[in-house]
Amino acid sequence: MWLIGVRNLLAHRGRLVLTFVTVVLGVAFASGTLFFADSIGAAARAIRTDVAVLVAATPGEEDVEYDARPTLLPASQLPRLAAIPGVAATDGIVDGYAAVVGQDGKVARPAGFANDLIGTNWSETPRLRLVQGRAPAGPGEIAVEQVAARNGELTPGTRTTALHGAGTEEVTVVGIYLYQPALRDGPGRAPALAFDTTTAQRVLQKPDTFTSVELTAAPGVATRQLRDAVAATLPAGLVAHDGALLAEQSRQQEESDAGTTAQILLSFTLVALLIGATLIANTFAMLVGRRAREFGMLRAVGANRRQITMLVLVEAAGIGVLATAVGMVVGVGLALPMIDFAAGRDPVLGDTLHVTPRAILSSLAVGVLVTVLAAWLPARRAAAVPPVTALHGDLVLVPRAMRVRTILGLVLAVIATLFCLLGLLGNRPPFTVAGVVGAFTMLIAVVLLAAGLARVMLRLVAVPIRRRLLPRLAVENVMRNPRRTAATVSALLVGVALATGIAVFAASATQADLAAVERTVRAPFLAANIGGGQISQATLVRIRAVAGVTSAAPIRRETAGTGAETFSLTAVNPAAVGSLLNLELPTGTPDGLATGALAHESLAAEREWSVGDSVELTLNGQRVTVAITGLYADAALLGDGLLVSDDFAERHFRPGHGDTVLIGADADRSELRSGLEAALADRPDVRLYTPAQYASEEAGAFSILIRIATALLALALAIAVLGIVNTLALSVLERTREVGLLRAIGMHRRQVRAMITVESMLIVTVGGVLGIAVGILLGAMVQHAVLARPVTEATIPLSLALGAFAAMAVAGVVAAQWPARRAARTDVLEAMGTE
Amino acid sequence: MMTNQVAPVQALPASGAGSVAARVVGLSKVYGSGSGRVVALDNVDVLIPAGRFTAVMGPSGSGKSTLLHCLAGLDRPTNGSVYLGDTALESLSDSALTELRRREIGFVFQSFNLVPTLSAEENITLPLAIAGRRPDRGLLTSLVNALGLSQRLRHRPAELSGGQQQRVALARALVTRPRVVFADEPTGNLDSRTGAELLRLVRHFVDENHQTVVMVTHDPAAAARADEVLFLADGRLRDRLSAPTVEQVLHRLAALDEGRS
Repeated sequence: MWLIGVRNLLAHRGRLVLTFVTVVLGVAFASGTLFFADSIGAAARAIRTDVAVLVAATPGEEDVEYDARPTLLPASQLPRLAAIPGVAATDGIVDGYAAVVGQDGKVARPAGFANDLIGTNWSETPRLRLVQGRAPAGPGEIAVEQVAARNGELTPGTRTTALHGAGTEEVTVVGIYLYQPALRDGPGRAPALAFDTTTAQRVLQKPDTFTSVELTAAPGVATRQLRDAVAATLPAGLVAHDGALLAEQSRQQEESDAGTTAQILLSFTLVALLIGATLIANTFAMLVGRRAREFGMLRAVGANRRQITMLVLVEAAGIGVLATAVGMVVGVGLALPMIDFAAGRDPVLGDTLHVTPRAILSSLAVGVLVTVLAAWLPARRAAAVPPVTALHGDLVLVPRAMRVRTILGLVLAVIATLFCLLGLLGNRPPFTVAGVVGAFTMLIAVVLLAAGLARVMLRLVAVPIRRRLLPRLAVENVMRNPRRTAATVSALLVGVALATGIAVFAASATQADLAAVERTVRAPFLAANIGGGQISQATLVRIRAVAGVTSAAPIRRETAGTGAETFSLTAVNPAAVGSLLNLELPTGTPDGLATGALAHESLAAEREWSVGDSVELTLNGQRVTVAITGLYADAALLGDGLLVSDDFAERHFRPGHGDTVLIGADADRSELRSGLEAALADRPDVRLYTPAQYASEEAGAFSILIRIATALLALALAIAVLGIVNTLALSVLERTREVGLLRAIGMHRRQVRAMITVESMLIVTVGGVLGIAVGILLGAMVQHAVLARPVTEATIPLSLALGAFAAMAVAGVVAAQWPARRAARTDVLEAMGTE
Repeated sequence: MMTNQVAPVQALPASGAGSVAARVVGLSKVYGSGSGRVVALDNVDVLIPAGRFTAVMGPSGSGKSTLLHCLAGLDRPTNGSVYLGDTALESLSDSALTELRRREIGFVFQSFNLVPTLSAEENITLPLAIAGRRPDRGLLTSLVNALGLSQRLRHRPAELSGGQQQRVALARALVTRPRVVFADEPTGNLDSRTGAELLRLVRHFVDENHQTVVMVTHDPAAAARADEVLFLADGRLRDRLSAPTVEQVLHRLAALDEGRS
């Protein structure tokens, strides 16, 4: 039997191409993802292990967030730390907001996924590894991180501008470095540029201070002991971290990040594989149908059912192994650019391909198992071929009843409808969760009911063309095998539904952002720092000096705590409320801002604060008492903590002018814009926005969702095309005689082609319409839950929907090409099976 | 031997001895090459008279089906010419041949004759639908009545008996008023009574409407309903018989077998 299996594989290789391609694609996605995850996670390449102890003013052991470093280390601490027994060397680090301007006049983005921009000081440790040029030796010289250098086209010798919180510096690039952090503080936050230490202290923080110190241990000294020794000598507000522990935590963080990425990618792969399994099952059904006589003959000469089943399964396994091998090679091809991209953005990630045995075995298992399992049913059917079939006729594959499936689908649809209706009742958790559950249940119900729904839709389509025989013939053909049509339709449906859902959510979120900003911001313009830095005094003065500007109100932020919990503190000029800002106050008046603080309703509810209460906060190491004078509702730009006056900020916040400035004006908008742009010309890191522009910039985060939706749609369509090719090819094969008859009584080849193309378009239309409908429901319910907007306010991105339809139409035509051509080439005599 | 009958439905151009619906001249058909070479037809000349019912008989492999296929434009001859009326088929493209089949030829096959997803009426009017033409209601009604199908028009093929299915196929073959109806073993899948009924109907259309019919069969009883029987063996036309009876047909077939062995 094995021999027959292998011979068959060779004999039918043409027909197996489709199965082969399907398995290759599935395995390529799966193995590519696994290789990618293993490669970027395995290395933790750039995380150094030479740091024994990190001394920083970080409040908690776990919390290593950059923003929460209120205090600085005096430079005098450095020699004291160096004197501790067991310490081999100290590296004082300064970092703070800074950016470097590229040749194009824009901020040159460094490696990393974070938006925040920082600069640091140069030191001769592995933290900054020089790859070109030399270290900065004084004011006017900087070294640039290698990705920033590439983005900004900066090379040693380039003259450019360095931007920082206090102003700008004209500098010359003298070196290019690679950043090698000792810990992972956020998603890849490489300093874009490095000054010499004295300059760094002056422009990034304060002279003679450091933000942290890295200590290396003398040989034989354990990091744990050294940390304890160092910690014992530290003044209040400073904490010593075990370097080995930090490196381990960073490594774990890295692996879990890589794992999350891999999980997301693998879930896409899983969808692809499930659909692929349907394809493979269809292909094998087609092969089995074609070879009914052969199986009948084998049965007639004494093969038992089990042997026939094995025969088909052996063929499937053979394809599985071959296709998996090819798929893994393609997978490496997919993984390499992904690794390059990830490592290019984030230097901490591994950049070399690691093909682990685990990934190979998993891919092999996936490829072979999916193929064999998918071939199982057709194999069983092949085994059921009666020996008498050898003597005549074909195997008629009778579609079995799908009653259980339909009943289950109907029950789920009713449940889903109830949940969705429940979701309509309110914009709060029990209702919103019900809505989301209802929408996802509906997706499952629709997949289960795909056959019935397709029938209903096709009947509707058929109504206007009742009198036109040929289009009707196509409709009837699509309905002929409901199970197969349903499988093909579901493949498209799930992909399109998820893509549409994501797109609707993203569009709704963007819309919500826009609405929030437009509701809150009355100022015609606002300026904001794009890298999380402060707007400098000089910039503020220049903005105020622009003709037509009546006011410029900075928004300043700080993090404050009560006990262990932290929340945001936002400061504005009370005069701006009403003129530049629109505040909704459920309790209190805007005047309350001058005498105390307004609390966000949700924070007040959570902490059980009410108007009139006095609250004690910890702010930059100080204890401050503030009176709650009112409550404010959700407002863009103002956070969800406490709102205080700029006077309060002047007294208790770190110095600075905030990262955002609201600009009030009485002049003509376009004139004003050019004036403001001129005022900001020297600060490429500060951008001028109208409220609408600001909202869409904020919503830029959702553009990644749109991209995922598009990619998912493309994947769904690619798989759907394969599925439709498969289904149509099978259908054409089963109808060979019928097509022959049609040709005999005068149907042109192009009419045959048109008929098959219409069939393809019908499948695409049914899958697409159902998918988009369910997708809109999904998106509407998810935005309802996440954004707390009414279901009916979901924004449907029309352009994407139209684009999806266009893409599906193209996919439908493309998918029909091969089967249609095959059908048109049907030889009438052969088809009619004379003799 | 050939009578001149002008069909009332459509006037046929005169050709040679009388009105000829189709003819083949020096027709040869060879399949394969080298040692696998099979000569299906070897220099055959046949005239199909218009308005008559012609049966083609012969043992398996005699080339009778190949002859029918070449006449009907389904197969291309290796040598020789096929004329349908005055049209030489070898000069036609696939597309023109398709048009010709649609307009001038009706088909009845042994089985797999109907499209299972269409009703009986839709199957009958299918050739017109393919051509984008509307059926002539008068013709359709008279055909349906003559074939006893008026109560069956809404049924799908699966809901019809074998005889009814073949009658639908016959109606479909006639609905375009074709020059020739070609029937390939039309009674092959029917029991003898139903087969006889179908042949009676074919006979009726030949007698009443002067419809030209060419039928390949190996049933002597079926062949005996024809006006003339052509006997083929080994790719050659061996014999012909006018106004046949079953006994005569059996006798000629036996003689044919002897001549071969």
